[in-house]
Amino acid sequence: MKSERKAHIVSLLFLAVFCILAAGSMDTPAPTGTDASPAQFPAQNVSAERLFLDYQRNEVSADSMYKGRTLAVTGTVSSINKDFTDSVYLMLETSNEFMGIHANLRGSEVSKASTLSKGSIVTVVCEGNGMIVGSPMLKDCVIQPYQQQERGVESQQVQGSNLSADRSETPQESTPELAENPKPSAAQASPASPTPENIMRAINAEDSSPQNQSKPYPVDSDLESNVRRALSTSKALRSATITLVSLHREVTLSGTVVDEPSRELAEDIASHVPGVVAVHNNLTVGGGAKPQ
Amino acid sequence: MGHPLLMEKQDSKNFGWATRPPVYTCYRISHAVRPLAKPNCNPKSGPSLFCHVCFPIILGAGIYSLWRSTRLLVFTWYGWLGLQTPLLALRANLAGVRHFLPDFVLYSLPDALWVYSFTFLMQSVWFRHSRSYGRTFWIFLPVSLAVGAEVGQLLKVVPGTFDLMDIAGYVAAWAAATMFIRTCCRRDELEIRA
Repeated sequence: MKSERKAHIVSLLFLAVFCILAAGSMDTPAPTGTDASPAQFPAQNVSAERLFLDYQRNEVSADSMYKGRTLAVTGTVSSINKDFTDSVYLMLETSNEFMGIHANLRGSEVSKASTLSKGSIVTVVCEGNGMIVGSPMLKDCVIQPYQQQERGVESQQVQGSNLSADRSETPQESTPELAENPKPSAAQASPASPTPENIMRAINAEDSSPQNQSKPYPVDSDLESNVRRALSTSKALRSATITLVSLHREVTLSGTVVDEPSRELAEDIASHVPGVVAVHNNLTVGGGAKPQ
Repeated sequence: MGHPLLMEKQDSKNFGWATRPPVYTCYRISHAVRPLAKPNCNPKSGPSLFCHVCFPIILGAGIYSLWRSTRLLVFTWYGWLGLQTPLLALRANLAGVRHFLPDFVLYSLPDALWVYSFTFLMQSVWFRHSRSYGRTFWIFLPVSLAVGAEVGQLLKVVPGTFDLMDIAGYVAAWAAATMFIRTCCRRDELEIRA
């Protein structure tokens, strides 16, 4: 009886060990998700102009970058309106005077919206919601009041450095670089006062500078071709249809692969390309493979 | 000749068990959990435990670590242990091997190895104990947990994908562990009872 009790205790300990081992095979929560509210994950900074241009260039790739993701969009307010359901939305200016960014505000943001005026520069943290009739849509938006002040500070750097405000670099990272290697830009020629017009001009100048216009995603274009080249070397992925885009060195893969191992292989290959900081794997399995 | 259960009776006579009344019901289960008291057979020996308990676990963990998603919790543990960088390098080098591995090896074998290892360990712990409910419980626990989890996946209460192949793997692993522990001691058993 005593030895049996001992065996029970030993068995229980082994059970605990094996349960821990089994737990290791469980998935951790995904880093991003479509069900995430804007407050749950760090927002991806982007200017209204960049968002608009990305959608104009390629709606599919822009969707893979922005749709369902938390975005901090900075732009100039062109109008503050109510739709037919009395929901408040902001229109943010773009280079196309007839098309803007449509940012639907949360109900709690109505009071903040009432303090805005046409021409104000705001940052709204929203969830990307695709494009409707040529206008990029944002939903569940929250106005970031403090971001406006930060933008004012940042604007001086933008004007002096040709760094766009939608880059994810922090001022601490960018300032020394600027002191050592200032780049001439169209924005430098503008007056240094941080007026809304000057801020947006600096941002848009960066987005539409000749070097950037020649490449869809200037910062990451080389990275994209490196990843594309790496993927093309894999025989297993030859039958796959993969499109990729890179933004702030985060590569988003989309398209179709034959099975789950190919999907994971593509992610692995992309993640090992030098310079890639994160891979968002939106590939879908076309052959009925087992997801997990 | 005829009914297989009568064969059991015949075997019993051959091994000198004629005085013991044959048990015809639940023959297979009682066969699996029958206590084996043999002085020359020790499944708890170091080599035996390594081959049948540690090695399957290492093999299963290897498959998970090298060819399964990096979103698994085990990669967080590797990060704590500082093993993530060498492991990712190893994954990159062995990524091509994945395409030569069948789905069963990638998705079912690691869990089947877990069942095998756990079952063998339980058989070892309860090796010299007489038949009891406790012994039966622990020996059947690994396969019950694994099959239960799979049924949970079918009912969408456990994350994952239900697959009959997984269940087949668990049952085969449990049977293999039970068979191995008996085979390793079989000769001694025959010698003792002859």
